[in-house]
Amino acid sequence: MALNHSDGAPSTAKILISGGFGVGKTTLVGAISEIRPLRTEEPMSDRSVGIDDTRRVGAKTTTTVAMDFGRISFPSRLVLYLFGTPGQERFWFMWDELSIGAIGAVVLADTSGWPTASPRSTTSSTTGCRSSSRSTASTARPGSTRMTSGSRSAWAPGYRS
Amino acid sequence: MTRHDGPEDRWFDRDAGPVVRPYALTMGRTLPSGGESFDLIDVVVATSGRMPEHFRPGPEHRRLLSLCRRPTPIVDLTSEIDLPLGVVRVLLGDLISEGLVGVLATQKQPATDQRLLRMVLDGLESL
Repeated sequence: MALNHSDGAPSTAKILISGGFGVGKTTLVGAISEIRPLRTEEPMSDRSVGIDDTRRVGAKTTTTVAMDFGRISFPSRLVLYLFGTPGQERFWFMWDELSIGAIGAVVLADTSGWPTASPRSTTSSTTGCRSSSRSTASTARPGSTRMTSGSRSAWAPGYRS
Repeated sequence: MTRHDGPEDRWFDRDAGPVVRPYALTMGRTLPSGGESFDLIDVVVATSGRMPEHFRPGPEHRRLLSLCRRPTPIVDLTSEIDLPLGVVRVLLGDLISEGLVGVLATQKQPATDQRLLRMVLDGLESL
């Protein structure tokens, strides 16, 4: 059953926060969300040794296993949802679900990993981002919001999966 | 992580997960029975329809119904009721089939909706 939008219903929009393992997606969502983000951080176990590259994120002891979820409400009755995707390759299947219907995406990349973390390949398309994600390990520390200095973001209107 | 504190430690704590597992809540279903597909940000709202006599709502059905008395995005419902998204989708499917909940029409092409993009841009610039 489909109803028409009534006066009391909010408009909703979705923006994807994406990028490689450890670039600070969870930190970004946590920094700008109005609600305590629904996080799915789990301690990293010894099973991730050799799979998740933590060499540049020494203090990183937890990792996102499903998605980060943040919300910003605007007075115009618009609610903007931010979905942070898990960085590890084994969770990429979730990206399709999260990206369908999104109005845009923010792709974070860690430029300290240059030249392996090439901004050209991470910002040109989702495909580019996927192919280079494994190599964009990060120095973004948990709790820091060094988005402008440590990471580059790209605004991509019209983003579709 | 839950701390385990002595004799009050019980095996069915948060770490152990829910006693009633998600597949039991949906009676083994993984997809909504009506074939509906919901986006995470679709907005649902309870209708004023009466509960059909043949429909036996579980406690989770009732909680969902009370949570969407006002128009609410599915992702907020899921966060509020603390159940997996897949479970919420199946339970919402039940409520929609019974005419108790309606889905508000969502934009088909949000990425090309100039009005929506303008609202987002204005909102972000005013932060």
